Amino acid sequence: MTTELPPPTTRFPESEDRLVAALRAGDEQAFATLVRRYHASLKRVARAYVSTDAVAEEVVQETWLAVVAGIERFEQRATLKTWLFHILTNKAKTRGVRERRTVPFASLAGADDEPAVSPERFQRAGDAWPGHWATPPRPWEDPERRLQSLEARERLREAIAALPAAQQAVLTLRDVEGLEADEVCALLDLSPGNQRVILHRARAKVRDALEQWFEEEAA
Amino acid sequence: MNRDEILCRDFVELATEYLDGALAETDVELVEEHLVICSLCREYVGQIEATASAVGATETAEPPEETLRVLLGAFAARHGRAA
Amino acid sequence: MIAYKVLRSGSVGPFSGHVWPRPRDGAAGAWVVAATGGAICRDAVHGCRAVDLPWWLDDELWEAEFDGPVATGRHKISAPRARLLRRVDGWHHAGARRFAEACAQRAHERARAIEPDAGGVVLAMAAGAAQCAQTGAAAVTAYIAAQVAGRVGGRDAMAAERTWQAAWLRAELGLRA
Repeated sequence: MTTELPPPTTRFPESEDRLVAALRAGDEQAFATLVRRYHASLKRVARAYVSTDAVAEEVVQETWLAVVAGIERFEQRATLKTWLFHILTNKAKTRGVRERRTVPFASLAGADDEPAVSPERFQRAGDAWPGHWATPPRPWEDPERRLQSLEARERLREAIAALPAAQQAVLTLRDVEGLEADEVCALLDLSPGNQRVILHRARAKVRDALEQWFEEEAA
Repeated sequence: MNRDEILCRDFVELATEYLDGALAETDVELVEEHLVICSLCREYVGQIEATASAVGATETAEPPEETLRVLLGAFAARHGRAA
Repeated sequence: MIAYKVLRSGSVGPFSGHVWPRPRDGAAGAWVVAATGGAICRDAVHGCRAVDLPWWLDDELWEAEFDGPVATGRHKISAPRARLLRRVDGWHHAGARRFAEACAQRAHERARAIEPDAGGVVLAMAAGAAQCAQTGAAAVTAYIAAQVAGRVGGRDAMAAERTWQAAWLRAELGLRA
């Protein structure tokens, strides 16, 4: 049973039409580019459904084989990217069911009651300004440039890899792959509210790691 | 939610919804009223945005060479000149 | 409807970042039309009535015309389009400073009245207001003053403080709308 995909939000960029044409014409270079480009993201999403990295890797390979078999029939009603992730999530869901992982996706996001920012960072009843920051975020100087440094990027990768699988999946689809909220909800069978909570937890955790890095750099 | 004010502790939970334009209009107004007087929360939401942006710029890890070889083989078999 | 638009220096919208066209040679600024589907702006242009100003104060204060069905929120109005008519000159720098100092003074007097000795929490809040007033941070000072009023006299006192703030602005700046 396929879920109904939302219509594409943008027209196909010229390069996407060319890529699809090249793939259909058997251009191996084009296929290699496609695999290199999406393999890691596909794996991160798969990992939210299955029990190990190895199984996630298998799911992704099955996905690529399905792409090989199905590219001729790909009608471009959705973008290539959405189509890829749609195949992936279907296969990952099936595999997850076979592994008898019945835990719903949303509850993998991490403790439901865990707030995005630790409560200790806010003032409490009896303090001068209850509910306001006690330990506020320190301003980040020149963040765009500094976050491009090798060290920052390493920290960023580590922080993402340390997230619970479901948070990695949503963060990957929204912030790495740039899919819209409604597309991600359709792919992962998530309500908009749940999707946002998971995304926010993920971003908040990564922000914490980057905050630490900025503090270390300033010391 | 029926409330008079959104404080820092509330706002940090809503930052992504706010950025997504997913908050109810009344809450948008409460958020904006708060951001006017709270440079710390303005900094926080800016950091969330910078984080999302930095995540978007991370390089993707390459698949294992062996995997790529196998997949290219399958692709060539199906679509290539050899077929 | 004639109402107000609060902007950052350079006539920049505080949340949209949009640069508002200024009036020139006696003619109103060009219409700013809501972009449909904008994530944060929603489908409307925003502003406020004089009574709402204390919540939004920033560098620049403009009288503006809001056209089309005008919706009213808690402390703001929204419309499909709006344009700047004339700047409220009394606000810039000196006016903001005077307003902030007036708010801080009231906060201090309220605090002193219930905490005659030094070291109280409310006095500390009022001291914070005084600090903000020195830099002319009008919105923050007004907020603190309202919070002090609330701590001392409850919600009615907080609302009354905001009403006083709006009345000060109307009188001192000669607001017409």
